[in-house]
Amino acid sequence: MSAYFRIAQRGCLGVALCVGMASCGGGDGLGSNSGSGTGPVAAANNVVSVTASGGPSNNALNVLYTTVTVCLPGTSTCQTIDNIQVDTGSYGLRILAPVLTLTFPVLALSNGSALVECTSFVDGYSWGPVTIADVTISGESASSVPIQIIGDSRYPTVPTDCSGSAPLAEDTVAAFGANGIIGIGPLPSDCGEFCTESVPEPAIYYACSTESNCTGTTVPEASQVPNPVTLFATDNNGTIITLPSAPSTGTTTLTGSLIFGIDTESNNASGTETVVPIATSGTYAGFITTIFNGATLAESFIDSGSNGNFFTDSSLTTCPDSGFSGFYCPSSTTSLSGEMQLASGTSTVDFDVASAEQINAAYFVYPGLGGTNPMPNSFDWGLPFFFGRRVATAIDGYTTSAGSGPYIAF
Amino acid sequence: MTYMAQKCAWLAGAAIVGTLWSCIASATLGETESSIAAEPQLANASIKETMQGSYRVHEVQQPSGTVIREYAGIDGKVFAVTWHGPFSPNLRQTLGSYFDQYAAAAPAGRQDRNHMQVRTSNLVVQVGGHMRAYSGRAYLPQALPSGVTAGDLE
Repeated sequence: MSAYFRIAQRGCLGVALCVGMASCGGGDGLGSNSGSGTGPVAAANNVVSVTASGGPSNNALNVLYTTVTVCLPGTSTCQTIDNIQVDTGSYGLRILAPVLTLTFPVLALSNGSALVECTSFVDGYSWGPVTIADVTISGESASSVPIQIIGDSRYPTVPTDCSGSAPLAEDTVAAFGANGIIGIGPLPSDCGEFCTESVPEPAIYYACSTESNCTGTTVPEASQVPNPVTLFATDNNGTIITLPSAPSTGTTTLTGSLIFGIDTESNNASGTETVVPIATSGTYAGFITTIFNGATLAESFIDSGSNGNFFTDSSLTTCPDSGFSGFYCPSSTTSLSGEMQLASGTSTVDFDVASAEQINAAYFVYPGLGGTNPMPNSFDWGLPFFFGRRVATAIDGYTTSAGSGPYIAF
Repeated sequence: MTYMAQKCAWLAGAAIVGTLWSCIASATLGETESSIAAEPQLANASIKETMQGSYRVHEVQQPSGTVIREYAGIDGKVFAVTWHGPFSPNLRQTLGSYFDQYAAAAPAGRQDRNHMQVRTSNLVVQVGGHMRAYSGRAYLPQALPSGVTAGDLE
């Protein structure tokens, strides 16, 4: 059992603070300039509050959440759902079935079969139908958006190749660590062109003729679960996350803003930020390059959905407690730096690694969380990278005044 | 799962014999090359094979772009597999009988979706990545040929 499984017996302190923080977001108007002020920006149609908190089970660490409203298509019958994880490392809106009171219509393929998806994260798989919903986040709306409902009782039988794609079933709020996830990474959809022509093995999309008779299928791009931002009428070329910095010892919660669009409103101008390009072709498509300890790591990424910085540094001590397997536990906080490879030149990013075993049990935010990276050619800049920064994610196929997506800028 | 009876000749001798576009489909962690698996996930895949010192590598490129490499020792037993690409492989097939051990040992309840490490005396599995970009390796530490380290498994 991981140390991060903090069972919900911690008392009400965390919950009380979460509520307090959520209600005091917004207001200082920072964020229209790059580099300087970070944290919540003034309320606007294209701004929604985001908070790193304990989440639905009051046990999360460095997980960023927001609130999303979903409506039955073409109606004003809606449900607002909190504790939706904000993830720049995936694509699409996915909601855990148990939190829904509405029943969304399942997307039907041209042959009448239902479209059901197997979403693989590294730690687990999530099975459930692709449904149609109207999505509203703050003042931004999109109609008839394919979203996935995870753990939906209408499709109870997980195909064996889906359950073979990752070790754990993640079809409950407790297992998933959120009421849902909104994937707003730098690509427009969760599979793309390949799935329009071919079926990967194991499949991502399945055509189900009955509740349990499902076979892998190709899917038109318009029916794939999209990065929902791309379906907004405006402010649809990317996102910006602003978060205040966090004390090195950690803190209870941290509240900032998710801003939709880049260079589309007065609150999302690019300014003179550092632009990190994302490769669009070849072996390293989808990745950035980070240089760390003299190694050029071409499978790196910046990802709000990773809860620490994950990299290989053999000089750092890993945690002795098996519950912290894979995390670093230096005897004192260690300051390190990496280089982001830019289109021209590099940019240095400083970061700290602190002992994962020293986290205050009342805290849900810990900027020094770091761990080993099983990918030998990768540096994963997780949510701690976002603390104290204004990080823009520009989507592939869209342009901003800072360049053409996909890129990450800060 | 079905198995092909076909078996390729062992490339004896030289440290690096070269690259061979092989008749072999693939094998599964812990199994021998004689139990070559005609895995569904390898349909239409291209396969090449290289000899590297005391082991040889089957490299399978799936049509989806995901590359799976399987490392077999002099005894013909697959002691390691690695993969990377836009789609996760079918780990139940790739890890074979070790998949259930991996799943049982995988720590639940973490908020880290993007890395997984299981390390026991007889099995190491390390996986990382995110949607549309996955990478991992699994090996049997007690079966690593002499002089071979995890760092050699790329």
